[in-house]
Amino acid sequence: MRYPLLKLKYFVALALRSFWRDLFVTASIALTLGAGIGASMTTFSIVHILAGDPIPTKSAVLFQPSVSLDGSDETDVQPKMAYQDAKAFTERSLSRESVILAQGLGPVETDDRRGGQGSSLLRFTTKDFFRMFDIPFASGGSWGQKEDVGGEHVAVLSKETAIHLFGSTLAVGKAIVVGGAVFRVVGVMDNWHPIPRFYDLSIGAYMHPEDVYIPIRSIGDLNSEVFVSFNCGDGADAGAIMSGRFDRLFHSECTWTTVWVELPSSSEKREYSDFLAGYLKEQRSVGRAAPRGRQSLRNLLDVLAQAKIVPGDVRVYTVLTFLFLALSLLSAAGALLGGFLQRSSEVQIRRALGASRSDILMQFLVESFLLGVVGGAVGLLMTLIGLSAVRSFPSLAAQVVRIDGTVLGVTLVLSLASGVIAGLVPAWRAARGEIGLELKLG
Amino acid sequence: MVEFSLLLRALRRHKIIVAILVLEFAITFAILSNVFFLTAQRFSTLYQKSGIQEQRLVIATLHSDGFGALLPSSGILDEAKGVVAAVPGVIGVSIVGQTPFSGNDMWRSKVSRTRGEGGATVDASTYSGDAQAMSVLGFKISSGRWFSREEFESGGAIPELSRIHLVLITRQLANKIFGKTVPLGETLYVTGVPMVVIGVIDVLSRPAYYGADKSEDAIFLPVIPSSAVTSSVAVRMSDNLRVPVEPAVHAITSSLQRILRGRSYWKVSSFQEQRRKYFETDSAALRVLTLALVAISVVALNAISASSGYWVRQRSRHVAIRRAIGATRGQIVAYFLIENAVICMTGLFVGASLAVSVNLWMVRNLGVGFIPPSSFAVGAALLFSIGQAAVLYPSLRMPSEFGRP
Repeated sequence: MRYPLLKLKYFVALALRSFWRDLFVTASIALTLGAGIGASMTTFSIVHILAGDPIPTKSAVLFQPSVSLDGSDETDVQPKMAYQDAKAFTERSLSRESVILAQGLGPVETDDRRGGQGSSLLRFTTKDFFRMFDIPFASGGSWGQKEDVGGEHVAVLSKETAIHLFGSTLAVGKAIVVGGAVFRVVGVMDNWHPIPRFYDLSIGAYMHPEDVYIPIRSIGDLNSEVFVSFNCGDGADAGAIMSGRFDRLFHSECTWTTVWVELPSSSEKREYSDFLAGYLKEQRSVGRAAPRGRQSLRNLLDVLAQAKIVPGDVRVYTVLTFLFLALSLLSAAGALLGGFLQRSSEVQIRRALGASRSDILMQFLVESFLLGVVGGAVGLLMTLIGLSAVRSFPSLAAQVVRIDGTVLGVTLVLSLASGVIAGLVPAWRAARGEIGLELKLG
Repeated sequence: MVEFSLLLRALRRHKIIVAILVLEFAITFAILSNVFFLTAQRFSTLYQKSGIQEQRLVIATLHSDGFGALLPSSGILDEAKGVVAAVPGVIGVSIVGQTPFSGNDMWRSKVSRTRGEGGATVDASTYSGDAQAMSVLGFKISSGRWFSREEFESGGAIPELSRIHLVLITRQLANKIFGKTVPLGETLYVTGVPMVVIGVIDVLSRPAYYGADKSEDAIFLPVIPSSAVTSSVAVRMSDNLRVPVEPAVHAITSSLQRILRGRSYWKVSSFQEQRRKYFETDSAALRVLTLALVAISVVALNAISASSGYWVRQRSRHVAIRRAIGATRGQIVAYFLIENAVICMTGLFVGASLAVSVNLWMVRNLGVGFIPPSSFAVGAALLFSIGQAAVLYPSLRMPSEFGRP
């Protein structure tokens, strides 16, 4: 093709002129495309956020080992286990990072009892928690090995909790009271809200992280104001723990902990799952595990996939909005077909004056491409409106929905493609006609 | 029919526009029938009957921060009952274990007709309350009777089921377990404990909604609740409409705050507020679905009428020729209507298979029910009339004789 740029400029000029001539039709096509793009991008960005990778730099190397000694069918996506199993699992991972987690609830106060918040979410864990999950600190940092082993009274606060209790994030060295025991603040986290809340999905995949983090061994010193989530087969253990004798958690078969380990290579992963199999065998031989007992080692992304955390509604709407996008493309194609064929006399004159069929095809494609761009802009606007409407929904999942680079990119590609897709068949049909026939009749 | 074969031949010669129209009908039908179905489902959820007198009922529940030692003693419920009864406008107070649509379905029992594992067991929400519970909540007993005063047991920390011998059952649950017979005097096993059914409650919804077929699986036990934190105080206001409910809610709240223990606080709200909160997500979803239904209808209507109308207008020259050789206006209009009906039916046929596969996918993956034929019927009727209307107008305006339109 000679002078391609010049031709392109000419086609754009022709397109703009035809838009102007039929402003109403142009606007209705752009709006239709925009509605389709807006609706499908709204649900796409919801799914993209809700089912996203919460920690992309590490999701491939984070694994959750678990064991079910009696082999019962777990209803929990992240099954809990007894402390001695969790301890064995973390001690095994040697040089690599590993962490034990447990969840609780209880009142937190400043030591002068002037400031406080009622039911706060408590996380009982080990020192690697913060490094393993890339948690940013506003001041101070994690506790160390010594505090973990001794169950010392140290605490890390979330940013909101520090501000609520002490007025600022500069709270290192201050003291708080949790479950009747005094804890020294060693670190204050910066904003951290992984979506989904992969490390513990049990209280909701879109719940905010905990308010206060303390060494798991310190749990024995707390009183019954604190509630620890646990499950006991033995009624005597359960009774004792309910009344605040939390040391029983460490020396019973009650299940209440989960573990994460970091396994950077596939050989380490293999080694670790061999260890788990061996561990279960050993527990069978000492009579702790039933013959039906099971163990598993699952990657973070598998855990999330099995948890089916995206609400069913959202997936229904996603299917329907993409059907709607197909409808809007069809509708645009129908309108373009009408528009292009109505201009067949114009086509015949241009053909008679020497324009080739591919010129005509290109001219119409440029026109529909430009329509798609306008439609995409309308669609982006509609996506923003749609998402702000979604955020007004009374559910935790709705609050975390936002637009990001990926969604913008997909919208851009979709809008560039939509016009061409809608225009392809109509443009081909319009360029196909024979010279002469229409001129005579017209 | 000569005309019909002519029509099919014409359709075959314009494959592109016909294909676009058929697909427009098909996709619109698939979307509309699914969205219509989802909307209807939300709507019935939102208007689920509770079975109780919802107006002028106030519910007060004790909440507590912290656990274990700080739980308020059970005596606080009796105290609360006395305090609330003194509030002007209150005509009845009752302590109940749970209330419909509170979202807190704490006490549930496995109930069955036989003791063993063999028979079918149903998971039933277990209501409990004192002697005033029926009159204060205002549910109806369709056959049998309410418990007499001496039949009530007081709960203890965890109610001991073996001391309880009588039970009320909802009609929905009775039909499930005993079939068509009225089960008065029959034995119902509640987590293995035999109890005699002495009455059938007409309608009583569970504290949480699990879908229409499970919405009323509930029993009522004559147990006076004593666990202060999980139970509620139900308050019936007088029917005197000059005394509004909202100030009464405030009066009840402030009277209750006077008898607080430890780290606890009262949450008081009208039952209608409790219900509104429980179904908040559903009503938001219903708004979105309704909006979507309107938006889809507008876009689809626009698409179908534009394409059909355009195609009719495009053939004005042919119409003029046919008029010139003797066709009546009625014949021309009928031709276009029949043609559109053929396209529409083809589209609906394709669309129905699309709609069913979308629905089947949802049934398999998302626990949604099957689309009832009525949803299909509504979608089909709507699309058929849109299509006919879209061609009727331009075909009536066709030229009456040969020449320029």
